[in-house]
Amino acid sequence: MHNKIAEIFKQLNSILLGKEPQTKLALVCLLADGHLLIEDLPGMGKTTLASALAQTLGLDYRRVQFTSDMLPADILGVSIFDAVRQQFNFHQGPVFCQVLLADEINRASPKTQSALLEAMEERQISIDSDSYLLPVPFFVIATQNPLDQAGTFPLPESQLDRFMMRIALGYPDQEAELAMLKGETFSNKKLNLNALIDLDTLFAMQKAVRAVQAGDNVLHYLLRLINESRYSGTYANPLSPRCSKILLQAAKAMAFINQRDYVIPEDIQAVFIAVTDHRLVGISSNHGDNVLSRTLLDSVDPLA
Amino acid sequence: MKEFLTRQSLVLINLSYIAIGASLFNNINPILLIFGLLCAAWRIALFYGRVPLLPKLLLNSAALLSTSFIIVLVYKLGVFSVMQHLILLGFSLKFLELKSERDVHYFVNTGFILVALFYIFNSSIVTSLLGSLLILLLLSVLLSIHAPHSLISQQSKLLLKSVVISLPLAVVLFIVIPRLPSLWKVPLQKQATTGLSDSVSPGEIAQLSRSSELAFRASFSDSPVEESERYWRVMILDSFDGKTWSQSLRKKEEEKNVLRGDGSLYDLRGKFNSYNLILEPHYKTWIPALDYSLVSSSAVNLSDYSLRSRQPVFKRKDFTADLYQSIKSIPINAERRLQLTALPKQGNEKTRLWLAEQLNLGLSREQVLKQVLRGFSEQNYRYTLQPPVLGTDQIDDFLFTTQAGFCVHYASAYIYAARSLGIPARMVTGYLGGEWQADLNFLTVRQYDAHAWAEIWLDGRWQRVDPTAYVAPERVERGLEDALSDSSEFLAEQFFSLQKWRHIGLLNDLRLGLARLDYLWAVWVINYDNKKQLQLLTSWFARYAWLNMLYGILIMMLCAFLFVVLITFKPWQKKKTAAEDRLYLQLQVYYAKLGIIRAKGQTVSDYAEKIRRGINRPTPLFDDFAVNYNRLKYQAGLSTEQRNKLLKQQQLICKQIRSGKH
Repeated sequence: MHNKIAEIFKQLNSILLGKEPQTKLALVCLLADGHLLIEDLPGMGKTTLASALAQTLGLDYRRVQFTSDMLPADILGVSIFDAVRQQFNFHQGPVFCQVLLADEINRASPKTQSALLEAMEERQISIDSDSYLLPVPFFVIATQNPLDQAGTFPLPESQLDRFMMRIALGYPDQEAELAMLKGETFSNKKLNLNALIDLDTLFAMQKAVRAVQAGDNVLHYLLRLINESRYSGTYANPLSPRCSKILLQAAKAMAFINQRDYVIPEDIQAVFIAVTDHRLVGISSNHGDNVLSRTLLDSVDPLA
Repeated sequence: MKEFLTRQSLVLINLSYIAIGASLFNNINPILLIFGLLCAAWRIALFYGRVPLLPKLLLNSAALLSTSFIIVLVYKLGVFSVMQHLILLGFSLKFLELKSERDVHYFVNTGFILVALFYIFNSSIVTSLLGSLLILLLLSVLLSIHAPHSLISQQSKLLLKSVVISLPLAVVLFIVIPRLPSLWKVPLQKQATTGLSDSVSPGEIAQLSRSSELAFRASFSDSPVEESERYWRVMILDSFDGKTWSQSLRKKEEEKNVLRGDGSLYDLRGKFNSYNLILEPHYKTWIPALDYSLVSSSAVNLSDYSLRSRQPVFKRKDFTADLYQSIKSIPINAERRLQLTALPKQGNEKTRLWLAEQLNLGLSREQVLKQVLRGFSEQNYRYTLQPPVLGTDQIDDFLFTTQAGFCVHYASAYIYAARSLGIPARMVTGYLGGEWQADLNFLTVRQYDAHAWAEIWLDGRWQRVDPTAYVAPERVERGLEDALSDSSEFLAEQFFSLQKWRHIGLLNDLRLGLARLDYLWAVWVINYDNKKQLQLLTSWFARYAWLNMLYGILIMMLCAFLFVVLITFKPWQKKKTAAEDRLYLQLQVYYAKLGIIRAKGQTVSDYAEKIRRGINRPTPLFDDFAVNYNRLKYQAGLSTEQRNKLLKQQQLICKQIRSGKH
């Protein structure tokens, strides 16, 4: 199984040069069964990462470009009256897929955003008193432009909370960019990658992640982090129990990827910023430097 | 930390510097005082923006230079003085360079030490209050720094409130805390003395400076001795060189020996009274004594019936002595007799001639002496504090020309006559009289009560003769003020002395009230020692049953407090550090010495990375340690066997690392 993971990384990193930590986090997110929010300026490779991830994992992948005039039905689907059969037929929207790339999610109106976010949480949709289950697995990889760009609707805190992680890609370093310019890796051509694993392998991996052990010592460390956010008085948006659960899940996935069957503080620290920063910050700041989550991490001693 | 100070703080700092400098005015070398004034001037100019802050380099070199200069300057005055000057110098220099909050803390704390020094030199009520004001000033400096945004009225309110709240605590501590003997000896400071000196030259005194400063207070167990008997003996002057009466070398020697030993023992009879003295500091060892006194502890008796303290009196001190009716005299030997009749061979021919004439008329020696005294009362002699200056033949000039003087002149002339006639005689200096305050039950003796009289050896014992009594009997009976007919002479210099205005009723009451307060202050505050403490507390416990209860409650509260402390900190629940953590901590200490300190949030792997970068070399040992540590600490389901094996490995790695490998 770990060979497969190494292969997956190799493929992903050949597409996105110099972004190892981010691809690792994205994979962790998917293995932990969480949704991913990628936030960065246009042209940083957000969409590339999402589609590369979906293709590599052999998942059914759709991309929706969000716009401000989009309606919920444009994502979820719509019931249309069939005059021949004298009944309403449900036409599935793009949400019925395994990996949904919601591009520039903050361009859509709040109504549309919340339709998608509800689907993310419930893993089913309801239209006209009928419920339709979404396929399994179901990942949403949303990308978002920084909020100071014009014509955006920022995601409220409650909806940010639905995403397991928020990551930023950032500029590539000079070498990687040079390699990109020389090579063909980042051409305008549509990405066409081989699927490296099938669905069963993915499920097996997710199962293995769930089986990763977390001892008392590491759970105490995790709780100390969570409690620091709640009781030190420094953080306006303390971390919720859901967050601590998600944090542990992500840490387990990280431990799994690091080929360990038990969690250590290093795993927690590796995912901590991606998992908590958007929850700690809320919508009310110009983020990007992860100050809050980094401070929190630095103020709790893993020893003790 | 703030890097600038508000104007209000600066004003307060300047004020407290000047006040503290001024408070030590008496005990500081003038050169340092001038330096202090310059500092203050510079600071004030700085405050108004006229001059810049002095550069650091200049200040540092100035500090070095002035320190050595000060040490050389005051080296002779002893360690204590050097220390005191250095503290003040440091205080001044800190004041000069003051710019941040941190500096102010240094400044204020040094200020407190200087206030403590101030208390070493001053112990009266008024000076205590002054000292408290200095403390208040320093506290206000602190307050102005820590509450810079509150109004001045708020600040002063807060200051007063906290002082008032802490006052009862201070009082309780003062009463309850045991008095420890001083941890170090405060060397004698004031060499200049007030009051009596150990030599006196009648001819050179043109104007006796009189001071209403307090000399001592006395209270009696029985009724006070009569006014005509209040001769407080201090010093015996037994050597005359034609100009000056002083103590003979022999006398000084005796005094030294006595202070080392147990003192002279007398055969005293008929104890009839005892008295308690509260002596103002005079920086010498003498204690005024009535005839005939015996002290028990902390003081010794001299063979001439006077008393000496074993330690110099450098703060208000109390002594208790018993009074006896009579004393069995020790006869004087021939050598001593020779000394007690010794006079300069030359000079004062007129007096010698006159004495010889009297003897030739057939009078006995005693009768001739009486003749001298009669002359004082019947002839044209005057008692004055502003006598004319006498020539080389002092006694002749006084007896036959000026015929005006005060106690020393009369005593001197009388003793001269007695010695010429071969009768052993000596001059006694001390105090006469004092003001009896009947309602307060104590006698106040002031510096202007200083007196000199004569003692002659007749009939195998020393007899007191006060020639002044023959000139101005009222000096003996009613005190100095009455002796001077022209009362403008009395306390001529001290216009503001309350003593001078005693005939105004209200002021007199005020004066007496102050005297009483001062007396109580001396008894209960300055001389509050372990004995008094015990006395006070036992008397209180006996009188007020509730005090016992109060102490009980205090002890209970203390127990409760301890209990709460224990419950809060739960020392028995202190987490035991796991074995792997202990090893990890040891390594952290080891690497911290190399300057590689683990940040608070750093995990063991990050720390390993940091170490690798820190010593710029691969560190396989610590990397192994990190992996093992994570397994030991976090891997669930580790069997005891595996655990022990890992721990053993860790110990080995630890040892290797600490022996210098990586």
